[in-house]
Amino acid sequence: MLIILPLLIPLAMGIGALIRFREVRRGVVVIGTFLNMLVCLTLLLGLQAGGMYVSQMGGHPAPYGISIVVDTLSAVMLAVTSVIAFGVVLFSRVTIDANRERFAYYPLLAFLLMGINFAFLTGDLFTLYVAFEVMLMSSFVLLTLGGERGQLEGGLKYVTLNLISSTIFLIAVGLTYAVAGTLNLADLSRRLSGIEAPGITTLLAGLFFIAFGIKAAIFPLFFWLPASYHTPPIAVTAMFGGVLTKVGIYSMWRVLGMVFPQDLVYLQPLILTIAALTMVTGVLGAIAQTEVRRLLSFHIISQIGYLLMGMGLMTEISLSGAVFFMVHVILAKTVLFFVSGITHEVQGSYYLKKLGGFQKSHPLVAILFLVGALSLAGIPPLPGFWAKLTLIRAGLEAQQYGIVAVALVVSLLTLYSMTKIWHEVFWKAKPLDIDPHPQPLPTTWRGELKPSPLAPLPDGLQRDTEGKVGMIHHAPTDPILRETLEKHVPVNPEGEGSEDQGGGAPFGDRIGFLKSTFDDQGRMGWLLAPTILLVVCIIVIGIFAEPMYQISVQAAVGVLEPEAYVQTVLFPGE
Amino acid sequence: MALLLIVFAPAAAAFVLTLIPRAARLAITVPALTFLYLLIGAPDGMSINIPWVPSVGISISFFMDGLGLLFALLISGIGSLVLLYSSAYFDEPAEYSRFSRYTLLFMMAMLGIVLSANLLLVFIFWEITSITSYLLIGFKHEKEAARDGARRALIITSAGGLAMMAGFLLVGIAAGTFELPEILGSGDVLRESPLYLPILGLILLGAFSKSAQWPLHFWLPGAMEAPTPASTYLHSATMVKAGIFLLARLGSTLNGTDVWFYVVTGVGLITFLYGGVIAMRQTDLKAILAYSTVSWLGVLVALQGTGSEYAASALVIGILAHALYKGSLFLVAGSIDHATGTREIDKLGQLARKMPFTFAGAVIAGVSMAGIPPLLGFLAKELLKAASLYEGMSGILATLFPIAAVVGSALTAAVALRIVWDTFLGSKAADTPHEAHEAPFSMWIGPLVLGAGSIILPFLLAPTLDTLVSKAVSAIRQETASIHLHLFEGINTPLIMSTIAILAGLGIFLIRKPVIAWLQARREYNPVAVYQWLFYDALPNGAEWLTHRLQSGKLRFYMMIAIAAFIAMTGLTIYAGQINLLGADVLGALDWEIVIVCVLLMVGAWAGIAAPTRLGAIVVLGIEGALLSLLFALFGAPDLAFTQLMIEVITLVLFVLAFHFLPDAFTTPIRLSARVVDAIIAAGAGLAVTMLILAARSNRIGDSISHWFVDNSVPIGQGHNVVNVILVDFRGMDTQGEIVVLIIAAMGVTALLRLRPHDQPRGKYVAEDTNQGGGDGGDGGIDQQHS
Repeated sequence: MLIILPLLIPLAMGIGALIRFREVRRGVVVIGTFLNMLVCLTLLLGLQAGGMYVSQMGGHPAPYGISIVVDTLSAVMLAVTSVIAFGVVLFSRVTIDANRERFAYYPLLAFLLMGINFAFLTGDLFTLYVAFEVMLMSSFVLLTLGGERGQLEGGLKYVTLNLISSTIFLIAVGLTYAVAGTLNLADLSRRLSGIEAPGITTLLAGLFFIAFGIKAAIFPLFFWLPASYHTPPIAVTAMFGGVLTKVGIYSMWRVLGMVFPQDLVYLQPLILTIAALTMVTGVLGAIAQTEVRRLLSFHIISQIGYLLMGMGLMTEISLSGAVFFMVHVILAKTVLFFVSGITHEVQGSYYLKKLGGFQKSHPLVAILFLVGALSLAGIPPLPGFWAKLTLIRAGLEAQQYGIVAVALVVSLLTLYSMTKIWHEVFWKAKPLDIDPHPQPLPTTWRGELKPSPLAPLPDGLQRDTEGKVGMIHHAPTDPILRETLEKHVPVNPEGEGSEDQGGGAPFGDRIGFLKSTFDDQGRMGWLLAPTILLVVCIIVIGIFAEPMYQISVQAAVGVLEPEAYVQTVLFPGE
Repeated sequence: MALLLIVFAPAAAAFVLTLIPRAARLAITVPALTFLYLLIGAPDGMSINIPWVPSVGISISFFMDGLGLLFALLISGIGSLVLLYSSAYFDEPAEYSRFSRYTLLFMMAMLGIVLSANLLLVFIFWEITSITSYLLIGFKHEKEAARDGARRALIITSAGGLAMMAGFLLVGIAAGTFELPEILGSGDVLRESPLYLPILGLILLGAFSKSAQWPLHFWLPGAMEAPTPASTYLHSATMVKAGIFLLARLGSTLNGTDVWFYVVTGVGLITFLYGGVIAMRQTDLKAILAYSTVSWLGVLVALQGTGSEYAASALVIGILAHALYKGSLFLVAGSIDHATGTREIDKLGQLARKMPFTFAGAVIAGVSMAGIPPLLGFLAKELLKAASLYEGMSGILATLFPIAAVVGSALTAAVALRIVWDTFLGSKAADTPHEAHEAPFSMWIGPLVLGAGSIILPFLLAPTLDTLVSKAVSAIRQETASIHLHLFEGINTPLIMSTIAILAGLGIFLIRKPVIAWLQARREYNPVAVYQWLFYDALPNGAEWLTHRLQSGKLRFYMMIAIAAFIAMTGLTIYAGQINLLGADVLGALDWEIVIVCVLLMVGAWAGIAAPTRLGAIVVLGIEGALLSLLFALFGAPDLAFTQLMIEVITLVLFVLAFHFLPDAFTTPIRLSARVVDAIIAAGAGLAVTMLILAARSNRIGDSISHWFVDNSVPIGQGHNVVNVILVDFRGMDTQGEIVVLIIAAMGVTALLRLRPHDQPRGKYVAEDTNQGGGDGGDGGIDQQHS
């Protein structure tokens, strides 16, 4: 009965978190997501030796009732999602305002988790549709919760495009039932896989590809994602960015890979082309951004391309690589969103040009970001590297050199894009808090060395007690202003950093980041704890890549050779 | 075990430093002990193999051969001196600690590259050197130039690294293994493989980018933004030689073909001459050193074209000599910068008296670099010339190589003289920001120790160098070699060539002023312009242009694309699969009642579009819904029809209530062209759905399971209404899910009505498309949220 718990725990959690008292709500979701995490990890560990868990809802035999199936792929997805959910709940504690909590933020999060788990658990096509409905509705409400203008506008685009997806999905489900007479995935796999492509199954596969493609944000169906993901609070964005699109990809693997493998092979050129375009447009979109959340949102799209590539190649090694990539990208992307939440918490902005100086002021945050970013860029020995290596290898072995070249170039551009965040947020000095549209300096200021003692000073300058002119904080971003200042005003190159070192020990505080981190009544602790949790997961997976790789292979084999799945679901006794 | 310790001890030290930053001064013990152990205690033929990710074919396997030993000695030896040097170079202990951490991590990666016995493991360490190099170049990260230089180095070396990764994977596919000892024995397999050319191209790209070969060299001068100890260590003595190392490691497996010979020798010689010429025109001491490093890296690459024994010995001595003298000169440049506050050679002069120890180090290094006997640099140049006369070469390069060797050596000599003379001697006094003073002990000892190596080693050829060189040459050529070097082999062609080169170098040095002025007046043709254009112009602007086109912010466009994709996919798969649409007796099953309802539905749809007011449109839609429920009733689903009718009534009432707050007529005019596109999309969608239904009806594959529900509704579900039993029993879970959806929707409505930002009054939710890089949303207002 373990396998129904990932459904029941979030449901109970959603109801429990409706209780009036704030601390009770928080307690319920923290405990609930923690239990959910334990259950999901137990499921994953239980499948180490192979096999799968099956349960028939209501005791009705397989193709007629609803089957709940946890094979390795499902277990992996459940496990990594449960970790993210736990992290997001911790992260929500200080980033979600009281009003949102009052209007059912936590229950919505719980129902979202329920919908996601539902999608991973079900072995039935129509139940998958229901799971998508639960996800869509809860994510839409989470997206618009708060009623800010950007949220409503983003939410409108989000829900409209996703409803189109749901419609196509429903049409496809109906047609599948009309054609095959069943909706149980195992039964469908038994009846439809092996029918010669192209044919009626190709038509169905194509429809599912579009429907899931919108959910997964593939090219050119991704528009809803960058339109909406930057609008809600960062904890919501982290949850969405980490997990939500991946449910679409999971469904593709599950449905297309298990039921329509021959059509996937037939559609391979199309899928690989779309994978390449998704990677490229995603990463280019990211390069065009100057706001961290938007930038990361476009990266989500880019990485969806890699996941699609793994499916398009349709070999055991490619799909294993894709599963590995999935785990890595969910963790890494959530870490990056968390870090952007932390930097926002500290400096109050998501705009690259307004942020800065974190390497000096928050070295721990810098390390956390670096791990996530380098993993995303596929730098060894982080998990992103293993995933990329496996995918590239699969592409080379399949002699699909085009997609391999694109994947490599996009990986380089991803690195480039990550250095952009790193340079702006962590390396450059914190810019002066000046007018975002600075006026050029008054002309008297351009040439003159010493302003008259009474002349009004431009933004960013102040007089000290002796009447000398100095800069507030760090170098301003405006090049004209900066140039003028550097020419005329003695600049303290250390900026705020030297203040931090403050005449004490030469290393400042021994572990400086802890000092600067925990002097705000533990707020930072609630932000750092989940981030550290995920970063530790990333590092552990990177170093102990072999077990993760074995799990990925097992998951891929489960999809590519569905005989065991069919046998266990349909004929449990035999 | 010892190998593991050698490779990972620096990483452990870096970790300790993270926890105890104060311990930075002790960090030097790690490389120093490694160096001593390698020098005296290391047994031959150590190896270790621990499985890591066997499924990928990667193991933690290291082995020590002559080549690895040579590099490991350099890495640990110079690493020790650099750490010692930087303890005085950095004024702030915290900076020194951070620098030591990065350097130790780099050291681990570098030792990993040279000792790995697994190709993929080599790649892993290779990438780590790129990252640590990036962190070191950007060490003074508040300077924009440092950030840009760091990124440039990272992008170029990572691009090469990615190519190399693909190359390694292809080697694995062709050879069936990633273990180096096995690959080294399968050279013929690789050379005959159809993948040979891609493998060669990709691996050379990786090696050339790391070793700063023309035209990818431009990241190296940019990397001079790094603190000088880092430049010494990474960008002169070790990391830039990783590419050389890789060529040497894989040379015996991949060389012997014309492509290898022409590409490797050609690119190497171009780099050699180009670097020498450009070094002359620089005025920043570090830039001069950087370009002369580029130049010498060119030689080290060119030497590997032939694969002869001469070339291999020349390579080994060349690597050693260069590491000693160039490392020394970089340290000297750092001391000068530290002492005077400038590195501009035009502002320096007559420092010899003020910085005597530093001067001594510089002189030894300069003499060695110029190739003047009897220092190690002379031996390196002799061997280079001997290798350039190797008879096994063919074609035009056989003529060009010796000439290039002489010209390049002359340029190197001129640059060496210029560095030493114009900085420490010269006629004019220094004009520097700070008054020059001698550097502290830990900063001048490094150059002197390295200089001592340059002086002593040539006289200890038989006891020390011969064994090392023999081992290294054996490892490079994968053939046992026994090399006996001699400082003077009598008067032969190489000696004459060396003499000519030194004299010519002296000549260039004497007329350097007009030469430099002339060079500076010429255009540089620096490929960095291409990089700048690509990453600072084409890429950002192109990306922005594309993103603006795609992410336009217009929902109508997004919907159009999504529906068009649906139509296209339907049409294409029906076409490709030649799917029969009229297989079943579609028309025969038609009932005249149904036809009438359908016609009415179509008319209603048209009326809904044409309705001039909101109220009119919603009323028509209500009628449509009623017709639809009639259709359900005709198909024998009265409960469904009833539900549909109820929903229609409620919707109608709610809409009418909501419209109370909206203007009645549609106010926004829509252009005719847009209407036409909409009409096409709408008609296409309708057509697609029709075709889908026809296709599904005509292509049944299996029997429906629905009879089971009819049969079991009463016995299992205890209900006569099959649909109800399905909903609440057989598929009760779906219903449960849908109930949750309703709860969520209720929460959403509550929140939408009652929770709104305090600064946003009722009725102000006007969408605005104003933004860069994709038109969606404003800044979301989220930025004020936590205030």
